[in-house]
Amino acid sequence: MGSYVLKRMIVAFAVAVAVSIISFALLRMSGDLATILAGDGATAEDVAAIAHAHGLDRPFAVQYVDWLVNVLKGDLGKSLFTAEPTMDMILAAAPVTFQLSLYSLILALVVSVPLGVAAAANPNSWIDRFSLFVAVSGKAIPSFWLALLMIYWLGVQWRLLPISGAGSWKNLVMPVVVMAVSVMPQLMRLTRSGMLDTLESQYIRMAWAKGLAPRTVFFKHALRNAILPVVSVSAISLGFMLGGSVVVETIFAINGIGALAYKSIIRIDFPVVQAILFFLSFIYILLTLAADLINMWLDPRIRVK
Amino acid sequence: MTMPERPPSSEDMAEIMPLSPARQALLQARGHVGLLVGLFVLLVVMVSAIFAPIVAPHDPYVQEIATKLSPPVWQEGGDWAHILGTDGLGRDILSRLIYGARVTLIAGVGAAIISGIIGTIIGMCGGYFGGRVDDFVVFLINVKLAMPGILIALSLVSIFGGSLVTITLILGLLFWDRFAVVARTTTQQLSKRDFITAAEVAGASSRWILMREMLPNLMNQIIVVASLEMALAILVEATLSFLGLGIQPPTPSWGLMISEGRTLMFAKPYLIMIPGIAIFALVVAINLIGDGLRDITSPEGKG
Repeated sequence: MGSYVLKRMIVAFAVAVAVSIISFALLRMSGDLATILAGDGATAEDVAAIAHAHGLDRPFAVQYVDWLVNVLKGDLGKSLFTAEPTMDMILAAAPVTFQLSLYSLILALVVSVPLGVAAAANPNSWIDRFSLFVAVSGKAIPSFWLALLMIYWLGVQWRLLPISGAGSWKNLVMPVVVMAVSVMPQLMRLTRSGMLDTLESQYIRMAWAKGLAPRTVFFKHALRNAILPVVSVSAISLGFMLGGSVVVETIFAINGIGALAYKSIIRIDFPVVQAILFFLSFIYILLTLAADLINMWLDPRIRVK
Repeated sequence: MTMPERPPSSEDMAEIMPLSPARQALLQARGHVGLLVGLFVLLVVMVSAIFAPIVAPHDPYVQEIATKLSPPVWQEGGDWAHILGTDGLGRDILSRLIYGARVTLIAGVGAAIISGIIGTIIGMCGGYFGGRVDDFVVFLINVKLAMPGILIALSLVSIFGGSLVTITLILGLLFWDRFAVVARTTTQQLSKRDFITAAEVAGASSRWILMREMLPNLMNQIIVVASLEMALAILVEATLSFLGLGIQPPTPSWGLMISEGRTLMFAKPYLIMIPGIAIFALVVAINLIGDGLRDITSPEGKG
């Protein structure tokens, strides 16, 4: 068991290093950052001066190692526009986005797991059809459009909720629903198919044969196994929502990671963009690692392997 | 509609009627409502995109300020000259929708093809060669999954600019992971089959085995993934264009139309409703096709 955890952590570390190299390379190799920074009408000398000032004229590997050494020291660079340390900017923006994503995940799970279980328990019933309908439409509705529709009806026509800003729980309702809808279909279909597979297995037939109550069979025996992939996908969904928060945060004027990323991308503030890409990947890697460890705890078979 | 407990598997079908697999699939397709609806919608969008100059009632770029913001025909003040109304610059919405379908379909199909080629090659190599190669492939997939896709797409568009070609390429490079996962597991399963062993014993090269023996057997699964990825690529293209880092004005793109209509949405909600419904309907249709194809090609994998 210890060796499994160790192996899993080494892989996670290697993935983090690879991600940092790629996100670094994507921003550097994608043409002339210095030219873009210098703007229109800049002379070749201006561009060279800017490239030199930001160290962009050095070989790629040197730039990367320099960046990595600073990251290990806890320094993710400074914004080109405000000269603020990017670490501070990210730490200031992160809590809002984490809160938003976590609430969205909870809402998505609260809706999709019971619906998935009910659909699996009654295949081809109205509830199964309904869950399929929810999954198909949830997967196809563009988040930004759903957000605008909610603003139009809930915010303006019926005046139920505030349309932007932060402060009250009411401000969170619309963004949380929009983000939850984006991950709900997958969680629900996964719960349903996991439950269907488990309900056909030998040990569940055994449980029925022993005359256990349906509730015990469904929740104590079947759900525990069916939920394993849902745990992994929850972690993936959470990571996805942290990155996908850019849509919801720009529409609802929330100052989180997504809005910070958007602002920095628009003005090509590459140290900030780079730091955010690395930070989000790092969180994603931690989340999936945590999900694997939780699954190990839920499923003793993995421990034995 | 009554459905059997479980869709008939190919063995059951063979017992009832000795037909070729293609005929069986066709018969099943005919009874699959979701698939038929999806195909119908996709066909309508494709035909209007291809024949846009003939189908569109107006030029999508021409601004007629005199008739700007005229509502769709079913609303008060609507006019049959502009069935879906006009936008804030007096451009005909239906015509922009029809030309916008070209952008949407090119981005969706292009991204699905590019990511399909990349992902299938990576996945097949991992699944067939195993060992170190497979470890590396799994590692690559993990790295890809750890990167925040939308933000990377936004950053790349802001650097390379938002032309249809760059956006299609960027989307293609971003969505190969699911192809790789599916190609890898399927190749692993196929590797143990007799016909692959036979080809190996006969001295076929790895390349021959992968391209001539594996690939045709992977095609069913690949096409299912391709339809789902195409739907995803269409959504992401719309999102990028909505955020202003996608297709640039005045080119008509459905996401951009919503973004342009946003400032006037409270007074003229149809400006965001119509393109939104178009995106939603097309993505539902493509997903229905994907689900339908999966039901037909692998009845056991339903769900």
